[in-house]
Amino acid sequence: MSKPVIEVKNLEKVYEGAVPVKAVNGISLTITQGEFTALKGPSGCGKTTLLNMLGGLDQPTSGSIAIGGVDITTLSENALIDFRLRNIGFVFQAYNLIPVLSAQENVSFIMLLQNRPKEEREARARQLLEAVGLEGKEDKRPGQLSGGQQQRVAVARALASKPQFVLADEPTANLDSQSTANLLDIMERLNKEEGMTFVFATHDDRVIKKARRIISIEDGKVLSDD
Amino acid sequence: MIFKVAWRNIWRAKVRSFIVIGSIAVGIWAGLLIIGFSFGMNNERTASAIGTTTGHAQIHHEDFDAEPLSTAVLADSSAVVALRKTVEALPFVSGTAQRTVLGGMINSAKSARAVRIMGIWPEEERIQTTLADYMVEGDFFEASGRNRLLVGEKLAKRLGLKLRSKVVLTFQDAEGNLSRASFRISGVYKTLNATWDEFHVYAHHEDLEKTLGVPLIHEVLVRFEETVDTEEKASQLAAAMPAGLAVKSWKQVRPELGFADDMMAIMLVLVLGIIMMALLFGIINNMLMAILERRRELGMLMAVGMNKRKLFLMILVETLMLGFVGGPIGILLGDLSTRAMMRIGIDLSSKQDGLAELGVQSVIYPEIVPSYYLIIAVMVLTTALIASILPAIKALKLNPVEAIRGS
Ligand SMILES: Nc1ncnc2c1ncn2[C@@H]1O[C@H](COP(=O)(O)OP(=O)(O)OP(=O)(O)O)[C@@H](O)[C@H]1O
Ligand SMILES: [Mg+2]
Repeated sequence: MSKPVIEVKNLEKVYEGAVPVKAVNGISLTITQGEFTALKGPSGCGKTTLLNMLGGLDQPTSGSIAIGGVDITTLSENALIDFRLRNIGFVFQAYNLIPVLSAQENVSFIMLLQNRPKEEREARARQLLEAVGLEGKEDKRPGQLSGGQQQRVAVARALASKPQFVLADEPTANLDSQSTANLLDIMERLNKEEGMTFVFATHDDRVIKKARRIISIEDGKVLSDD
Repeated sequence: MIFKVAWRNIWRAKVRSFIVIGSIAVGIWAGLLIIGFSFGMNNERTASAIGTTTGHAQIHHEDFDAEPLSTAVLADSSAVVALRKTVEALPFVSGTAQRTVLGGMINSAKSARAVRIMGIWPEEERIQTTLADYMVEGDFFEASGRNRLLVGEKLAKRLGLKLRSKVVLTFQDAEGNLSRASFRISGVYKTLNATWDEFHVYAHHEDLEKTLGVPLIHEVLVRFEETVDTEEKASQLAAAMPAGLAVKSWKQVRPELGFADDMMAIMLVLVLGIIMMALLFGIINNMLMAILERRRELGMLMAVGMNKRKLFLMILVETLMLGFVGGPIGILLGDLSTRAMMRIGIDLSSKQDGLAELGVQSVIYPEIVPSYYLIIAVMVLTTALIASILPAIKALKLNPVEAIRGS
């Protein structure tokens, strides 16, 4: 039995407003080491909201989130930023990279934030870019790379910080099927070979097909989990 | 790498950055020109005051300012000769001249004014001052005659005096009694300082002695070899004086020249302050736009774990870099153009009369004042530093979730 990386209990998120929106309405779930899991559901069902809370980007209205045993809902804002830096890898739908830095520098940058030594940063960035199939593109800036290549840099960047897991919100939404397949293969391989845990929020069937665990969400609740 | 990111970010919006850097450079350039011009003007005014009327230092009786002028004499004539010998023996002194100085009134047919009557030894005065070069009418005690008087052009206008006009001078004699004597205008002078011209008349010492009875020497003007370290030289001079005599440097004799320096310093700080304010708003505006444009990117950086301190630092470095690029360009431009104008001079002949009131010539030669380069550099960097605060705070307030989601 693998150890749990994320444990969520009775999570709720209410967006206050003229009409309060219960974007997440009582979700409990556990993600264990090595999972390759997709959160699926119709638009507006609360996937992004849930994922953002799992990643410590957004605070729940109630409930608890433990990551590696640490309850992140009690952390201060600054502590949370540092926690994200050391424990969570992110791949967003877009705007993942710093446009003025090369692929190599983008991957190095996060390790710089972690104050890792220069040799380690360079070696690891090179190795990760190779792992995502971007050998020879190290010095290209994001603007010189295709959307699929940019997302692969983002995956390399997410792994560079040696996180406990990677959260990916619609990572394939802007990609053609060739790039999507390519990106998924890479992530699947990293999952299998390195045991990296991935959690996706998506309504892309190509992603859902690859997932080994699919959690369906509707109206902020878990509809099914298998 | 933060420096690399900041540097490259500046060049993302090339036109905008060029405009900000350009305005920093132009602002500094303008500031340096104003500084050079002001110093040139002031130094010229000082040099001209020293040269035409005041000398580098003056020796008086210690009661010269407090007592009625006629009694506060330096010493008798032979003692003054000895005194001047001692002074001229000092290595930094180039020459001396003695004067009678009386407070009095001048009456013309039209009007009367209080004036200072300077009794001079013309041959000496001609060597030690340049007053003789500033005659606009008549001559500098060259043509013979009796009771000749030189008046400033401004005073001549006020009193309606022409060459050969008759005036009456009233002043105290050696015993403190009021005496009167009539004089004829034999020359009209015009120095660069119209205020001086209005309140000083020059008489031949012999003509005054006829009324005073004896030569009264109130003042010894001292010229130094060079106009540098004048305060220090004046105090060395003071140390060489016998008891009862006082030495004043040109700054003490003509405090208005010192005030002008102080005023100028204040004015320059104000002008530089205004320039910096304008730059401040320009830089803030530029950085706010830069941050607005990079909202998502900055949100992403916070999301993946860039802490507030580092984010703040990144914005700060980026803002300072604008100053680091614009500053040296501005200083270089300012330096080169001031140097060019030092050679050519700035001709302000059309404003000549107004400038004369200020004691300034019509062609101004600006000066390079290195200490202001440092002041400007510090001011620009301080401005950039202040300018970075608001944009940096704005960046810190970004909510990563919203920045990533966009809308
Ligand atoms: N900042 C916010 N303020 C108010 N309501 C919000 C906010 N963010 C999201 N919501 C609402 O919360 C609900 C869940 O949104 P969320 O983005 O989590 O859905 P999603 O499943 O990710 O949808 P999609 O598939 O379109 O990305 C929606 O009704 C949305 O309108
Ligand atoms: Mg979403």
